[in-house]
Amino acid sequence: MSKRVYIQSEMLPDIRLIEVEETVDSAGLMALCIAELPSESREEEVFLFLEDATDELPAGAKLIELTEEQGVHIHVHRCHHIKVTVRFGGRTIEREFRPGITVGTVKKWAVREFGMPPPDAAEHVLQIVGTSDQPDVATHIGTLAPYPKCAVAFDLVPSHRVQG
Amino acid sequence: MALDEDALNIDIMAPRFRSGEDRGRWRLKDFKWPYLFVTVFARDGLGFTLRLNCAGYPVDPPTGTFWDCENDGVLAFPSWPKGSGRVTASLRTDWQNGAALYIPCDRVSIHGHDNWRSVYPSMIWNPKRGITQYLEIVHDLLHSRDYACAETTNS
Repeated sequence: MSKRVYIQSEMLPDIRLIEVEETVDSAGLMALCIAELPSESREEEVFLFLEDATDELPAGAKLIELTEEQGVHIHVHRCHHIKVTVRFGGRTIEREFRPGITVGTVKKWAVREFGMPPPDAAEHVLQIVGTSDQPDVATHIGTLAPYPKCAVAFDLVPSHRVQG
Repeated sequence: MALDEDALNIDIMAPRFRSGEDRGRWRLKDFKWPYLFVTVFARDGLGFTLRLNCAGYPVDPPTGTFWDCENDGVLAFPSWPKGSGRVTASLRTDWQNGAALYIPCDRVSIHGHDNWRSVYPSMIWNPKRGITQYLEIVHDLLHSRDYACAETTNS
């Protein structure tokens, strides 16, 4: 049996998809992911993360042991952690996340820290500071924070209500 | 095959689109050029099928509406997603008689709304993001606080 592995990385312009045998271990998966990187990046030391996991992919673990999902979301990054800053209502909060954490998960953390009630939280989005970019909730924060800076800053802003 | 049809074919096979399917956000239902039929799932699990006219893709934005595949027509208005605020502002049955969603990345709706480019820059059609941009915006609306459970589904 094979699984679909979706790869996000600061070194890739978009998501990549590979079909992988579910019995592959983390070393094998690492080799397959590195092969997807641009040739100039394949010699870099990189780390592998399962989406929204709090740690690196455990050594020796097989893909089938990590998830039952048919589609597996993986992140490849040169940093262990990403420094995330979120601004809202004159306050700034900050913490480190693994690169494979999604924008949606960061938002959940931020609204909790700001004490925002869940109904209001659903009507706010993260916007990259100094831009109008509002990354999709499924975006891994590592893709927004390339090495060596390994940091990203957001404003928590109201979702657009289209009118006019 | 025309360039626009070819480009859409590539994008619905691309990882970004398929990732959304694997996440349960949407599902490709049918493709009859220039129409793409995609069911987008709401936070209560109901699915709403969009018919997206993708002529000129990806240079031109798609235009879409909720579709009743069994009757091959625009979904009856009582069956459209219900709600308030953002949902009723964008999923309007009184706009173009329901023929286009009132969102800035819709080809029909952007017409005459040049101010949207500065007011809603993140929702303006971006050919690099492609069809998933439209789907992500609709999915977001169907997962917002303003979305209320619909009575029926056309998935």
